[in-house]
Amino acid sequence: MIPVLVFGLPVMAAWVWLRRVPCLRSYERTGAAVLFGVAVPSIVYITWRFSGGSVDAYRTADPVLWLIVLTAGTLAVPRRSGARAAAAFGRGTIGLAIVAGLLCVIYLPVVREHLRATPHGAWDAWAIWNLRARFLAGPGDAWRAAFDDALAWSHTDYPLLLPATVARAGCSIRPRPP
Amino acid sequence: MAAIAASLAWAVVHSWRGAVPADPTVDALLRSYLSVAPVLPPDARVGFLPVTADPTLATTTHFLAQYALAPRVVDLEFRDVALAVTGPGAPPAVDEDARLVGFELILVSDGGVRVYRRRP
Repeated sequence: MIPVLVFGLPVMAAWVWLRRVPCLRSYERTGAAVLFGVAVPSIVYITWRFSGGSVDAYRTADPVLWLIVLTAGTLAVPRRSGARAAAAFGRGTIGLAIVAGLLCVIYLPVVREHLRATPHGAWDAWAIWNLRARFLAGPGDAWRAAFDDALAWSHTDYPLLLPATVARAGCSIRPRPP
Repeated sequence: MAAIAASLAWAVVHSWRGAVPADPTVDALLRSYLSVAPVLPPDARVGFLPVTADPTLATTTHFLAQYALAPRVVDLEFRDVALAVTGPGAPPAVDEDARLVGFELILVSDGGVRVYRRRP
């Protein structure tokens, strides 16, 4: 249930607000909603931590914030007409969606097998991305240490989108004791 | 298209057969470091002493120590550290290492990770 809230609410909120962009077809809007629904909460999380917000408070604030954004979008953005949406979702698109869905189903066991074999990921995961995420999800000002000179080998100049996404999910879904 | 289909088929067949090998080294190392985490404050800087001559393994043990002990900073250079840990399986002779002058041994974990604290 919590993962659904963590990832589902921002994606749904983005999907609703993207109705304001009339040139987007349904599948484009869905793709953009996933993109924004992952990226924007990560930016919010980083901003929250950098401005001194605690992990514990964020755990409560996050679903509340995205519920408000979703509700505001539902009330403020008018629905598209059904005919227009159907026209935007043509036969070719449905075929593409079926192929994409099949590929996802086929790849599920591949993903499951890799998660079993390497629960912490491969070298780059624990040396760079998940390592940075652990700092960003740490207590108090622990995130500052993520940029310590002693960690230069872990490419401290790399962008924070991925680690922030992992940190946000980690602190909301499965908090880790320090 | 054929290449995509072939790579897809390869990945599916191998995953169904459980062909992705689990890496026991990573899990074992992480468990060793996590066992000493409770005696290290979350905001501590911790010196790190690799105890293997193999440079690849030394790098791996260092990176995994940092990953397991984050948000503590694990420093090979021992800059401003009040605590230090070794890699797993460290022999008692490592206590005599020049970098540990002024430190005292406070814990040896089941996995052989030795933890030191700077003497007051």
